[in-house]
Amino acid sequence: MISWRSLPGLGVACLAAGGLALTSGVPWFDTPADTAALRLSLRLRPERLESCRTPTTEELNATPAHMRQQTICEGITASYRLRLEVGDIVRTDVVVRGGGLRHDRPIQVLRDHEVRPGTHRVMVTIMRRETAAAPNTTASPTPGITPLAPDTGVYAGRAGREVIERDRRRLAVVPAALTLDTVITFPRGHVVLVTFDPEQRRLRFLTPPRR
Amino acid sequence: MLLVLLVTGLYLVLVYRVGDPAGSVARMAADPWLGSWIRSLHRYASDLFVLAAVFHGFRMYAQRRTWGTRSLAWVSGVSLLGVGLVCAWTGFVMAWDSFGLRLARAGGRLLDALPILSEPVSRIFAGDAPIASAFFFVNLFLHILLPLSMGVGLWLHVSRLARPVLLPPRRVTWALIGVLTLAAIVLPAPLGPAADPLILATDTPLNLVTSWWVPLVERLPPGVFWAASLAVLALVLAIPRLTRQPREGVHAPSQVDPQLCTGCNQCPQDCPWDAITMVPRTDDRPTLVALVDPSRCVSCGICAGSCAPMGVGPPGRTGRAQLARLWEGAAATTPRRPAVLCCEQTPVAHRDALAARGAEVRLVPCVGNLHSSVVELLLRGGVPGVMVAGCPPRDCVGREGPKWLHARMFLDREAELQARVDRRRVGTMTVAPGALPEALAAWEAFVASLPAVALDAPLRLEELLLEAECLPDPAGVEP
Repeated sequence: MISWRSLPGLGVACLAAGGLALTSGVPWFDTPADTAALRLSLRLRPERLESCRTPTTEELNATPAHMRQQTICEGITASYRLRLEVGDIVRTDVVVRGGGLRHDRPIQVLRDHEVRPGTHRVMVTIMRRETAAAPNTTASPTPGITPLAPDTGVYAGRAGREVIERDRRRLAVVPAALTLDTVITFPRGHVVLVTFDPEQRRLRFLTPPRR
Repeated sequence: MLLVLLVTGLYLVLVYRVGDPAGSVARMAADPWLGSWIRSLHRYASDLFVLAAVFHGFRMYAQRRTWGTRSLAWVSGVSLLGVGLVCAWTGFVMAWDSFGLRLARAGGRLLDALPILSEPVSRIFAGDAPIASAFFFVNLFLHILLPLSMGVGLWLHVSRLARPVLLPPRRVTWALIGVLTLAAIVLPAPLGPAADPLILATDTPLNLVTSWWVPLVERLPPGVFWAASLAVLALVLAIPRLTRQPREGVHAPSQVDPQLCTGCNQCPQDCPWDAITMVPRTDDRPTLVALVDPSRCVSCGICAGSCAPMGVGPPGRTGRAQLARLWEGAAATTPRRPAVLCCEQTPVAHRDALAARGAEVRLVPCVGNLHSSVVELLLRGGVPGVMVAGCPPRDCVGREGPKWLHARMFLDREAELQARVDRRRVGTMTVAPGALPEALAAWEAFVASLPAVALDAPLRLEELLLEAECLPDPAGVEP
């Protein structure tokens, strides 16, 4: 049985609960209504610029059997200049490189740019900054150096796998130059996404379906 | 609130679909019979949990109950609050409305600043690929795992308390649940439109209680936010260290006089902090002897009030010391006024008001520390009535002072008020801040009842001495 003395307390409790309910959904106006956005969302595997050679006999003998390779490659991971123009305005002009201490992780770009709704020319360019290294040397033996004996046992086929892996990496990296130069209509309140298609190896944009 | 969250959460987890998070929550919100108000009740209970935890922590800090043996409770409490906020974050993300997406992005922004993940989390919400249902499964898993871990944390939080009180009074519990349910029915929790990474959110409903940090994350660099958060957390966790007091004076731990201790086992039963144990003696007496763990003792003095032979208590606050202080005032001229023994936490205004109404006000550190012999000695010294005024039972700094006081005065709990004392001249009352009229009314009713009781003639001082039941203090400890 609720005594009448509890009624003021209950009233206060009800008001407090109502206040709690209202604080659960305070309107937060973070983006102006009359705006659109262009989102750059890129995941690019940087190219490895290497010069390769056949290891010497001494180097091979110094290496454990399971770590010997037909070809030794040394080099750097490329960096790229990313430039975004919307209309005649340069919105981004930066150098991007892969993550990690050796910069050999994929390049991650995620940027939002506010754009006035309407039709605009959009140009996105990604250019490798470093010039290409000398072409990779073949696996032909250097004169005076005994070539690596054919792999046997558990190492059988290793030479072929090395070639396949290098080819796979070469195909997975971002091209030295990528350009998207197009006219895009930016609907009000929507985001147009520019991303890299790894299968077609080109930049493309996505617009959301109209609601 | 945790129980409310558990019960409502059980229903919600049955209805929620990992493969269609926004749709299942929208269907829940559209169900007027169960889903809508259960979901809203779950939301409001989580908000109230956070507010209650913050208020509880602030109260502990204001009452200086953050150091010593309470430091474990403080650290675990802060950790529980942090886990609760993370759990709330996962809950909002589960709904996967525009606010959930916003929270997910904010959390991703914070995580990406840490060098722990090989791929940035934020790109999951970029919109170039559908979000895998594995993300929502992991989120749901966390949302269930974190509250379970909070159960362990709660056990740790109260591990140093004897008889921890985990639930509020039943009336308050049901009133809270009723009021929250009413709010959930009348003001359903808002649900934004389904999350779409390619739609700009222009007016997202923000939960101020659990998601106040989101605007900060969006405006500050993640590194600055992390640094500021860690700095604040370090400061909060350092509070036990910053507020600790030297273990001397009023904070000196209780001591046991083994010569007086009879091994009755009452003080371990009364100690709210499990700081006293009974151990075998090293002399030839057959009984056990009490041993105080100073690291767990908070010097509340409740053990002193429990000890009939007055063999335990903080220095200067044992039963002997209390009587000795009273002894000094025993020569006061009669007639004496009715006395009020007030806890030191009583507001000054309350004490003054009682004194203005004819009370002889005396202070005690905690009413649980008060030895029943003090009450008897006052009455024998000519005081017509003794009222003991303590804090509300659930707000006692010593935790169980009012409870044990009442049991010792009226329920024959050791060290009980002797049967020869007329109980009509003894009273107990609660003096709560903001409840002065009630306290004054209780006092006046007590005083009004006293003239109807025939008073024994006050004993002369010599008679009091002859009737002293205390042995001389072997240690010669001065009060």
